[in-house]
Amino acid sequence: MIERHPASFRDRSGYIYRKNGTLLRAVQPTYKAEYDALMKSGLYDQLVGDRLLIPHTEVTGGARGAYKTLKPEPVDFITYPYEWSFSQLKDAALATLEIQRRALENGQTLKDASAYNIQFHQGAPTLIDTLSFERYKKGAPWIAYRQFCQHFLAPLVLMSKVDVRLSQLLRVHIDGIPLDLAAELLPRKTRMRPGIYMHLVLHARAQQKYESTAKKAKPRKVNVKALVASLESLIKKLEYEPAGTEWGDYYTFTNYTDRSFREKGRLVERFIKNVKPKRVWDVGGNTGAFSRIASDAGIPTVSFDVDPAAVEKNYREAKKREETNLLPAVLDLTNPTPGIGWAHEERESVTDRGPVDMVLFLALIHHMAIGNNVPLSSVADYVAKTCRHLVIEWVPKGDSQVNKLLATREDIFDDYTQKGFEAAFSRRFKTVRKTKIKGTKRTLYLMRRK
Amino acid sequence: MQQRITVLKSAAPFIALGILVVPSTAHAYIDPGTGSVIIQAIIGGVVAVGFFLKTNWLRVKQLVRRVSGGKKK
Repeated sequence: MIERHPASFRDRSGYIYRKNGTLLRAVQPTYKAEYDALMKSGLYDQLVGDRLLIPHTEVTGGARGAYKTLKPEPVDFITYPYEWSFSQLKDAALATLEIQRRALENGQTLKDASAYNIQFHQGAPTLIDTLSFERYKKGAPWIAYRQFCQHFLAPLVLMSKVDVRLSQLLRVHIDGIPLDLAAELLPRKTRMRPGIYMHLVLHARAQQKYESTAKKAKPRKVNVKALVASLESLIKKLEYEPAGTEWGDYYTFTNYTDRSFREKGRLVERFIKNVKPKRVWDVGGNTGAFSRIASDAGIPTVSFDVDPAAVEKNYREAKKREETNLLPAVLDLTNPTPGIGWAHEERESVTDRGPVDMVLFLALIHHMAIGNNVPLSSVADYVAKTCRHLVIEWVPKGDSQVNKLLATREDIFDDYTQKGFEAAFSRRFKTVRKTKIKGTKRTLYLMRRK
Repeated sequence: MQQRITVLKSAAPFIALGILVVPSTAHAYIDPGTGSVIIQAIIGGVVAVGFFLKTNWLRVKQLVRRVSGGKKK
């Protein structure tokens, strides 16, 4: 069965589709010369060798009329720029510029610079769109310059200079943050910095000025190499320091002594060994301490957290340890990433990117049930859509974290009891193991979906 | 507002310098935007000197050394 990918319609050079579950990319005859140039110039080998471009093999028996059919190496989990921390977006931007620099050296150029074309593949920001290249005519402008500024530069400057949460503007503006909006949001002093002034402020003004111009114009040579170098030096200088995270002192907070923390780790490890999942999502991952129990065992793991500072710390740690199985990502579980774009299908919801073999749901139930008023049965219903096995930690009233949530509000949660929890989850799951975490009031469950 | 008008005025000659540019590639499926093409021609020009010096730093250094060394003799 052939199923064309709903996000693959913009570029006419080819398209991606699934055939009997395998992801394939058709290269159209119109793109023949460009594809051959990529493969024969040595650029493909160079980029793949340095993990900047997704490797592929050419296969036979592809779509009718296609010049070639490619089978790209599968990416474990697709994430979108609005799910990345600052450094993830920065590394994706720098990877894009590095690819463009090398392309130019090989007489080619990137014809698009979409942040959605970059995925974290085995830890490295990697271009997944093999058809992004075309031969470059010296002096021609960089067609993707505007897209690069909207997808990468504008959000990075806003995250670094205004507020890291502004990355969420990418969720509203699917083709990147409009430059006039970005310029407007910047403090006056920041706006006047030379790099930001040129690539964002003046760029936005030029866009506005020529918005309605459709005149044929006199060609003027562009020094794209210098332009790319200037963008690179500007982006390298942008910084973000994750000071106190929302959960900053979470582990040092009274709930866990070192001993019970290690005990919880041992239990999680035992449950993972029991199930041997192929993929794991840790949906309240914080800085990834428990996610790493899975990823260090060689299991591709996504470590989600609502706090961009925690995800930033997690990503830095993953980078430092050169981890290939851990992918940190921003996710607000009370408002999970929806499907967006054309027909709601261009960028998938997080739920549609699952389900996975195992979800870790640790120290999270009280945030859903008390912090967000979600009935326990409804938590069970949603979680059941995301996994086959569930490792879930019951956090009762009387626990200091629950007390903290209830300190400033009325306790209307009569059904928030261990019995109520077990009843709610037993509708969807069968309990396989149940163990009290020593030194705490909490219980850890391993459940299997019914 | 006043500041903005001043900034706009100072930017005007740069923008005017740009004189319309057209992209000339065959497979462009995204709109490069006229303003974006004009501004990159200008920025590319502005940063070109620095870029040249940076990428040819060794050669420039050798040249300066040769010239100044020659004078000393």
